[in-house]
Formats: sequence, structure tokens, C-alpha cells
Amino acid sequence: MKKLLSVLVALTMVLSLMAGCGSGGDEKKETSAPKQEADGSASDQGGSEKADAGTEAAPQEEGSQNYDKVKIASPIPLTGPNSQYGMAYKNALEMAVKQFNESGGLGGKEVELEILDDQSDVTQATNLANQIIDDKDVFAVVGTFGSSVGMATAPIYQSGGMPLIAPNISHQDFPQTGDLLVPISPTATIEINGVADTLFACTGEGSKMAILYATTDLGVNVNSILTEKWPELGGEIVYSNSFVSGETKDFSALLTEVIALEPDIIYTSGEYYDVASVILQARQLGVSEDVIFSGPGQCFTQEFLDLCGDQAYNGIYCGTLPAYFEDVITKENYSDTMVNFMTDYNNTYSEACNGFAGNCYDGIMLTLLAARKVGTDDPKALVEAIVSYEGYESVSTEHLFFSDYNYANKSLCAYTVKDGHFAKVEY
Amino acid sequence: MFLQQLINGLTLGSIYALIAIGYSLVFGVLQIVNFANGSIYMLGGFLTLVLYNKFRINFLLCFALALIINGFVGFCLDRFALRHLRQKKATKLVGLITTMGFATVIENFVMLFFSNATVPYPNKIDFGSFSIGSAVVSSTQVIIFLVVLVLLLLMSWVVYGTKVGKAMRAVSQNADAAKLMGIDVNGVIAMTFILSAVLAGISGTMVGMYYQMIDFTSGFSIGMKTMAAAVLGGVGSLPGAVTGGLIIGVVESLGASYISSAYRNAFAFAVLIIVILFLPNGLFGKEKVTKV
Amino acid sequence: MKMVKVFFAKNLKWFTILFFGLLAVLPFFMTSNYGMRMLTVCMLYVMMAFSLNLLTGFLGVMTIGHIAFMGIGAYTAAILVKNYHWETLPCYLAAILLSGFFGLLLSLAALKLQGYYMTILTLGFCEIVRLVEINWESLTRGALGISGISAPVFFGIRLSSRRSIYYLMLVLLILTLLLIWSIINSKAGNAIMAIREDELAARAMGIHVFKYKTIVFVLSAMIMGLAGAFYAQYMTYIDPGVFTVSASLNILIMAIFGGLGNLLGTIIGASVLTILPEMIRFLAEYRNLIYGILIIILMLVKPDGLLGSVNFKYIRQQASVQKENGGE
Repeated sequence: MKKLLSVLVALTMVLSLMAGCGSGGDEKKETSAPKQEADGSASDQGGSEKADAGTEAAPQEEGSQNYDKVKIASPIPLTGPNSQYGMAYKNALEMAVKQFNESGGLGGKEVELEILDDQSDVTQATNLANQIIDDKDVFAVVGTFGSSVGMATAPIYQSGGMPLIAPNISHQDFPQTGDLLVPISPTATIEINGVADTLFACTGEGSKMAILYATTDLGVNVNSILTEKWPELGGEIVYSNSFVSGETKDFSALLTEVIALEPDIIYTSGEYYDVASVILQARQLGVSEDVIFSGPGQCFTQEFLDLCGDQAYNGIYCGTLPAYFEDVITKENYSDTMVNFMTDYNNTYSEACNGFAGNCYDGIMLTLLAARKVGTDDPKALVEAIVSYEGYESVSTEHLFFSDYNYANKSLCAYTVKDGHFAKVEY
Repeated sequence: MFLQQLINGLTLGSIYALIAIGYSLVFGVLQIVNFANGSIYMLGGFLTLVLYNKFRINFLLCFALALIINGFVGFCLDRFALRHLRQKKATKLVGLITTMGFATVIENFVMLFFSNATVPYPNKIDFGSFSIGSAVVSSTQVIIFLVVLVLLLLMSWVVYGTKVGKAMRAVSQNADAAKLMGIDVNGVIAMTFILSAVLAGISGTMVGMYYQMIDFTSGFSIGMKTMAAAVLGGVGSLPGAVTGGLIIGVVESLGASYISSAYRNAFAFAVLIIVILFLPNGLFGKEKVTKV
Repeated sequence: MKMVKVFFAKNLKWFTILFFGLLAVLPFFMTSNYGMRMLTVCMLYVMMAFSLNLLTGFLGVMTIGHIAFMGIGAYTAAILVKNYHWETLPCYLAAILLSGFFGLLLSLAALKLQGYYMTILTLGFCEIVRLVEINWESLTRGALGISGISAPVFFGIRLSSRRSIYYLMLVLLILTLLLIWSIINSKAGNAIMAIREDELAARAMGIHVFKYKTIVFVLSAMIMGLAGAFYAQYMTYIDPGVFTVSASLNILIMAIFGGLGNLLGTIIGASVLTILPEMIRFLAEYRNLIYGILIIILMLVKPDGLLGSVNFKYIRQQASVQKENGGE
């Protein structure tokens, strides 16, 4: 037994040394798996051509581009607490790459997609980042979930000359960390200013707001911007307190205080389950029926509606993402591209489409289209092509554009919940 | 307002107490901190839900079935891992790491095969609420409180009034001597693990109903807190675990509302630190006499 | 097999020197960033596992909140570099002193307690430190973390390349090893191990138990603080999410897995457990499940850790005794 174990350990060491030195070798084999999968199910989705209509920016117009590198790496959490978001990413990535390859790929070459699990863990994500910048076939990274991981790995990609397209990082320092970094979602500062305006338009002069915010970069920003902006608009902040998202399940202590202050609106900044907890527990504690519950775009999911059940009435939820529901994203309200994307996604995967998938699809599709335009050998040119790309029809917003080089801007969506369904708010 | 916070805190605390008893029992017989207890708690809650959603039969029946499975998981933890380590005379630390390994396995199992999202939980004990003064008390809170009370009495009877309990106490005092007296030490330890897993499963289900949701990561932080509760009361002592749980729950609620909610976990641990600095064996712990 | 063991034990010093010599020349043959990164991270974890092995393995005191000291060191260095533009050496000193100070505070409170009471106390300490890091926004920027921490600077020389950082880590690791080595091979080391074996007996023999415990505790906290200071400048971004109880448990698992009380074991254990998750990445979402199962199996097969049951000193003594007997 002892000998067996020592052999095992020795083997592990040798293998790991090989993994360290060789970097690549065996990874390439893995990458073909998702591609084959995508190829295999190529024909059964009729909708894919339709979705490509949105990305029509002529594939053949330039023939002289250099497409030596054809691989996109995606470090995303497939395990750990954020795995549910990682799975949405994975679906969107595979779908986008499949569609892109069907529409001609990069000058006839198929794009490879390499999905790697970083477990939302900073150390592992940093290891991965180093592995990715070593890979000579990779021309861009589309992935990383969450600010912590994104901020820690951004300098590595930047110094390694690797464009990082991050679907979901709202950290205010992210865009200025480097010129190869492209966030697809707006920074918290841009988003929350819009949210404050929208909420105020709905509630009116003198309304009293209570803020519960998660101690995340987004939550902290939400609190500081709202406490400044809300009184400027003419409202009043009556309460503001923080909680640790994911660890705090019991909001009754906070809500008891909030309810005693009789606010008009309770804004919760956190994940969908935090907002749902606040609503459920506030109703248990006998909150007034007139109080408006408000929360961020993280709530636009079926999970949120399921959690709230019939308790979600009288709420306004604002975010820079649309709520991907068949009765919300209709051709009357939104672009055909968005409708087609959602239909495609829902037909292909068992999980329902959500904003994370939408952002991620935009990120990779924009990258691929830009690469088709300028080739894949110059990272700087690629990023410039991404942020200045004209005529891309986003699947995650009405109008996606970049200002100040790489600050993403999107239009705001506001919804209320009626009979367990999201509905657009008119204000 | 204070009354309301007190009621919130007591509800939370009674849940902690129930899980803390499990810790205390296991610690008593094995002198080992069972890091998997938090995950077993989460598993119990999930099992009830999954069975109920799958078969759509009587909720209580699903609950009972889940508890049996949960008890079996606790049994496996001891039978196939810890007993093995005892026979090899491994240090307690190894047992600790093994329980951590189990925690990882349980959490990832639930993530892969049940759900990786936060899922809704049906509240089957919600019969409305009533008010005492300005405070609102829901039926869920009352029932949780009653269930914990009944289980406490039951556990006290088991530990102090039955033969099994006597054996448990004997093992926790001196396992070797107990063995010489003809007590089936391994059996007693297995029994303890089953009991503690069942208690954790009951709490998991009730917390699921109380908050009306559950997710696969919820075990870790409650595991830490209940461990603190068990130590605060004095490990190995039943009344200690209960008092510790209640104190931590109330302090957390009051601290979160009157001082700062962001520090809520810190209050629990701060109280723990202060208490054990003055009472090094916890509130009800007996001083252990070290002999050469 | 036994011959090899004896030979190895007898020449342990030379093997160690050879090993570190190899590590010193390795970067010249390594072109990949990933390889350099993995080696640097392994060394960082080995350093932290050393710190825990000193405390848990040699002294027999178990903590599950030691990463708090790493956090204190990391934040100290990050704030001094970012806000006051200090050079690295004084930063390291400050990080060591501050984490040592908190180590002293905690040890004064904790070491009077018995076994698990102390362990849980360190857990509480870790949680409180983390919450302070999250909530003291004016100092630590809270959840936003501190970004853009510049590379280490020694006497005006900036170490920004991967290779120079690697050598910095190697130097820190060797210093740590030398420190621990000299402690355990001194008179104090004998006292420390006597305390581990039987505290009461040690006290009866006139060993000042509390003094030694405190010294070792503070030293191991200082090592963690230094590792944290290195980490901050290496990563260039820190936030409180890194310094959690579960991260602390991970390092403890490394130390136990390698074998408590055996420094070579710690090197192997920490390296294997750092690299293992990377190697099983192809399992995608099943990775953590398999990792947990592997940990359980390894613990069952080898409860003392990889090298926990191997005592090189003892092997040496045995060998020399046999030689003497054979010579007669």
C-alpha cells in the first residue's frame, strides 16, 4: 500500500511538472470536445440562421486578414457557489461560437472555444490566466465571473497582451486597469445613476427610501451613489444598512427596523435570493402593502419569481439587462435579434435564458465579429475594433455602445411583477 | 421593536441550538469536531424538498424519509471513514480533515444532482401570524420553537434516561473503560452520528420552511456558527449547547439591528471569545482534569 | 528500500541543498508563464503550510483561522505601498510586526485555553478580522478591494518580471525553512516537541510552556504575515474574499496531508494539493466532488499524511546504532 501510494505521488509530481513546462499539449485535446458537441447538434436548430441576421456585418468583405489564431479561452465558474452563472455562460458561449462558425467562421477557419473552470477562486483563476496567456493559439479571453476574480486576473491578461472581454464585471476600476480590457456591462456608477432616475420617476417627490446593500463592490457603490443622488432628486434616505450576501439568510433584524421607519420604497442590492428573502421576510413581519420593493437586474430570472411566489407584487426592478421571458421580450417591445436569441437559447438548453447568458453572448459575438474584421494577430487592434464596432445588434440591450474608450453603456430596463410575471414599467 | 428583535433572535437561536446539540453529542463521544455537520444539515433540507417535489406525496412522509436517508449518511460518515481511522489510531486532526472532505463531497453532490441555484421551499407550517404588543409572531416561529423544545426534552431523556444514553456518557468519559465494561463502543458512536445527522436534517427542513428557500452553500456558515454555539455552552453538554445556541441567536439579532448588520457574524464570535476567556470551559462545560 | 531511506535521511541536508539549487536554476529552462506561476504559487503555499506545520505539527496547537494573519500582512503591505509608496523591505517589516502583534494578542488569550476551545477561538478571530476588512471602508476600501498594488522594490530596483518575483519567493521560502529548521533543531525545539507530546510532563520538567507556546504562535503568525505581504504585491489586487476560514482550512489540509512534524512532507503535500486541482480541471463541474473524494481516500489510506510517520532523525540514529553494533 505504501509503495503504491509513493508511486502515485511521484506520478502526480511528474505529471504536474509536465503540465507546468509543457503548457498546452494535453489541453488542446480537451478543446475539441465542446466544438464537436456544437457541430453534432448543428442541424437541429432552425433558428440559428435567424439569429445571425442580427450579426449580418458581411463576412466576406475583407479577405486579407490574418487568422492564424483561432481560439477563444473562457475561464468561468463551473463549480463553487457561482456555478449557476457559469453554466449560463457556458451555454451562451457554445451557442455563439456554433453560430459564428456556421456563418463562415474566420475566413473559413472554425473558431475553437476552450472552457475552463476557475471555481470563482482568485488563486485558481490567476493560475488559469497564466496558462491562457501562454497559449499561442488564443487571441481573446471571454469570461471571468465576478469582480474579485476579474480584478485579480485583469493585470495578468493586460501584461500578457491578451484582450479580456468580461461579460459581467461592474467594478468601477476595471475599465481603467488596462486598454485590453472590455467590460460588456456598464460600471456600477453608470448603472446606478440611471436606476435612481428611474425609481424617482416612479415614486415621485419626497419618497422615503430604505437601502439594504450587500457588502460587494456593486452593493457598496449602490449605497454611496443612492445616498447622494436620492436627496438631490428630492427624496429622502431613511435607512441604510449592509449585509453579507450568501451568508446572511435572516433579514428580520434589519427589516424590523426598516418597517418601523415606514419607508415608501425598500431597495435591496444583492443577488436574486437576497431580494427574494427581503420581500418574503418583510411580508412575514407585516410590512405595509403600499411599500414598493426594488432591486437590481439580478432579479430578472425565473428563480427569483419562483422564490417569491405570489409575494412579489408591488415591485420595481431596474437593471441594464432585459428580463428574458417570452411574455416580456416580444417583437413589439424589443428588437428581433433579442427575441430570436431568447427563443434559440430556450429551445437549445434546458435552463431558461437569462441576462448573464445575454451579456456573455454579446461579449463573444462582438469579439468574433471584430476579429473577422481586423484579424486575430493584433490584440490592440482587436480591442479597438470591439469598442468601435458599428452596426452590431446586441442581444442584451437596445443599444450597446462604448464611451471613453472602454466604458460600456446600455439602456436601462425597469419591470414590475404582475401575477408572477415580469411586465415593463411605464413611467 | 426590542420584543420583535428578541423573538427573531430566539427563533434563530433555537435552530442553532438544535444543530449545536448534534455537535456536542459527537464531540462528547469522539472529541472530534464534525465539519460535515453543516453540510448534513443542508442535505437534510434538500432531501425533504427533492422527495416532496418528485413524488408529490404527503410532506410529513417525505420529511421522515429524508431523515432516514440523512441518518444513514451520518452513519456512513462514521462507519466507512471515522471508524477506520480509529482502528488505525489516527490523530483527531485526520478525522477533522476527513469530515471536511465529506462536507465538500456532500455540497458538490447536491450542487450537481439537486440544484445549483437557490430554490423555493414550501412552508407547510404557515398558518398565519398573530401579534404580541407591537411584535408579529408567525405560526412558523411558534412551531419551530415547540419542535425544538420537544426534541430537547426527548434528547435529554435519551442521554440521561436510557441505556443508550448511559452508554454514550460512559464512552464520552472513557472509551477504553467503557469497552471493558462490555459496551459496544462503535455501536454507540454510530448511534450518536445517526442522532446528530437526524437532528441536523430536522433543522435543515425547518429552516428551509422558515426562510422559504434553500441553496447548496447554506451549510458552511451555519455550521461555523453552531460550532461556536456548542463551544460557548461547553462542548459535550446538552443544556450548554441549547443555551449557547439561544445566546448566539439573540446576540446576532440584537447586534445586527442596534450596532451594525455587516458585523453580525462578528458579534456571535465576539461573545464567544469573551465568554471563554472568563469561563475557559464554556458556560456549562466541566473542567477537565489533566493527568499524566 | 530501507537502504535508500537511510541514505536519504543521512544526507538530508545535501538533498535539501540540491533541491533548492534545482529550484534556483529552473527558471532558466522554463519559458512558460504558467509553469513559473505554478512554481511560485506552490512555494507560497509551502511557506504558509510551513507556518502551520510549525504550530500544529511541532507544537501541537491547532488553529483554523491562521489566514487572518496573512490578511493582516497583505493589507498592511498593500496600504503602505499604495498610499505611502513605501519600499518593499520596510513593508515586509511592518507586515511582520503587525501580524506578530496580533498574533501575540491572540496567543495571550487563546493559549490559556484547551484544545478545541482554542481552535474555535482562532476561527472567531479569523471571521472578525475578515469582517473588519470588509467593513472598514476608509482604510481597506472594503469589498472593492485594493487594486493596482505595484511590484516589489528593493533599494530602488523594481522586481517586475516573473522571474525576479520567483526568486524573491524562493528567498522568502528558504529563509522560512532556515528559521523553522534552526528552531526545531535547537534546545527550544526539544522543549516545543516535549510540549506537543505531553504538556503536563513538559511543565513538570521545568519547561516554561506558555512562553514557548507564545513564541511559536507569534513566529508562525509573522510568517503568515510575510506571506501575505508577498501575496499582495504578487497579485497586485487583494480583497477580503481571499482571507476566509475555508482558505485557512485548505492550508491546514496541506500541512496535515504532507505529514505533521515533517518539513519535507509539507513541501510535497502543499505542492501536490496546489497542483492537483489544476490537473483535474478537465472534470469540469465534477472536479470538486472528485477532489473531496480524493481527500477522504488519501486520509483513509495514509492517516499520518504522506511523510508523517517518517522521522529522519530517528532513522539516522537507528542507522548509526546498527553500524556501531555491526562494528563490534
